[in-house]
Amino acid sequence: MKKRNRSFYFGLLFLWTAWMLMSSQGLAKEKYVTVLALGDYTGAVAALAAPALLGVEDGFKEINSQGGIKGIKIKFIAIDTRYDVARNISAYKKHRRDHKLIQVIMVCTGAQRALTPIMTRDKVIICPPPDGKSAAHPAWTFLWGPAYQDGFGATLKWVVDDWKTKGKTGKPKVGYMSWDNPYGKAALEGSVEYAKTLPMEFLPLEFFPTGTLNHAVWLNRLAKGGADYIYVGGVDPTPTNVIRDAYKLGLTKKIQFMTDYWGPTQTVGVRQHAKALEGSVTTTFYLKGTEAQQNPLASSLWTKWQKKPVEEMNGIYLVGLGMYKFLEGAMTKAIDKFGYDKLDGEAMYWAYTQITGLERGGIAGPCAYSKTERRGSHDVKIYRVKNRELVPITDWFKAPDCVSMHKWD
Amino acid sequence: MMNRNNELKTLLVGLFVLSMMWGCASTGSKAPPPTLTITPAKTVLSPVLIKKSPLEFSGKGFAPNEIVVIDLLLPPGITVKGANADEREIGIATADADENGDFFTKMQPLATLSWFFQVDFTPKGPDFKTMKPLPPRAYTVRALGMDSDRVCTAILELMPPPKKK
Repeated sequence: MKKRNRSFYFGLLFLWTAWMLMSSQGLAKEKYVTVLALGDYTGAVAALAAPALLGVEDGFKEINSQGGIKGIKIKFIAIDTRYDVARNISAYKKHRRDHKLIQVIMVCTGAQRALTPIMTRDKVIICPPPDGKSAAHPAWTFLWGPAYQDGFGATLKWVVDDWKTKGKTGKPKVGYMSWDNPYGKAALEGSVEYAKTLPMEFLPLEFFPTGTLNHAVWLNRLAKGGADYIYVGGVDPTPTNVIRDAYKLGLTKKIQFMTDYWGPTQTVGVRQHAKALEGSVTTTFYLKGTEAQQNPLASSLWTKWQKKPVEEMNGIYLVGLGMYKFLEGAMTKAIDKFGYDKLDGEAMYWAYTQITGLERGGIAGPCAYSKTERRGSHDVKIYRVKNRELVPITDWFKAPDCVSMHKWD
Repeated sequence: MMNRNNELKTLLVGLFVLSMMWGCASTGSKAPPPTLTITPAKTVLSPVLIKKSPLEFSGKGFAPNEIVVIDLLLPPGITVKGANADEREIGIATADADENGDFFTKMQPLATLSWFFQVDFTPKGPDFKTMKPLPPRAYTVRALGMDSDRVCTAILELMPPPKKK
């Protein structure tokens, strides 16, 4: 009986050792890097984060399905942080020592500010939404596109042109209203300075709490101030809801409404309130509307990985595709120079500064990253809501560099 | 036979002592073991926790100026919205330790809404119709030093709401 037991345990030990050896060989064979996404899939800014992260994930699936980049695959870890700072920090703590963690994609500005010093020390690339403060102090943060500040500046430039085109005299009066949070105020740092160089009058700024049900108070104040144009911040459907309220008040007849990068999308705001949004314009650094759906890269990846009609694709999906193309370009360069063994955050940092001019299948302007530039691109485009669609009214043009006009701390 | 029993007892006692020390451990440091205090340690899950009287976490014995992460450790069988089924730790608060390694922080409204009440969010804000509050029971809460890895746990007891008369 005892002999039998001993044989059983030896057998078990043998199997365990064999399994360990096989699995460690398997690990050694699989070459991969890790990308962590501290996203928001079910929280307050899910409307922005979820489609963008879906684009990133589908891009990485595409890379991995083709055997990786030069044989190196990407392990994508997506955490639903629900926009909560504590959850972001805790999740980063948990994954900061993961195998070859080279990049973290973030959507929460508060968490980004708290973690940036630690991630910089850890030598990990940080990819957050485009707050120009990070562009003003180039470090390990690489922004998704042109800074919010530059995007607003581009819209102001368009206002001046539009005013002239309409043959109006005097200076247009411009109102600004957005969420009462760091994002809502970020767009103003530098663009207010830029506005002073333009023939226009800026009305007092208006900020409203996130989750506001009715925006009439702020809209009426700007209307009383004589606004000709109103720029609305916030992530769709917030800007849609603001313009919906303006429509109810009859303001859309005499005031031109404008939105930022996260303005109405064809699958959310335009679908719900097309009539109210008719004629409003939105400034963006990625393709929107039907143009986005017709883009070969976006439509092929969407239909391949989401298995849904392209009409259901949220335009913000292309923001994620932009990030995937950045990583693909940078990682290719990093592998060529450093090989797999030395492929780490430092190698990727070097590579990200070397992909200036990288094209991304026409979904956005050429890459602007360099040794001194942290904005993903400089080009923006303006669309107008027309007959339930987002129609381009400009070609790509370079946004003014408002970031450099601000005195940063 | 007697000797073997004694060895086994000694081993078990040793393991017990080690496990007790694990509760609040200052990893590889001569600093005093870290502490974690939750105020209140017993509470009913009610809306006052969102703004009026949020949970407070304080502690000592962490590295100077490091971030301290406060995690809720989920018992088996309990999941929260947004977390994968196998996730056992959810960050619910953070603090910056001062130059002495002491910290104090309050649980933010968004964290209370997301992880304790587990509400969904709509463009208009939190939707309380969708809430799925954490079940009443004792939960382990852990304070973890971001750089030092110093760790300490404490118990938070979520009590059932009083029965309506």
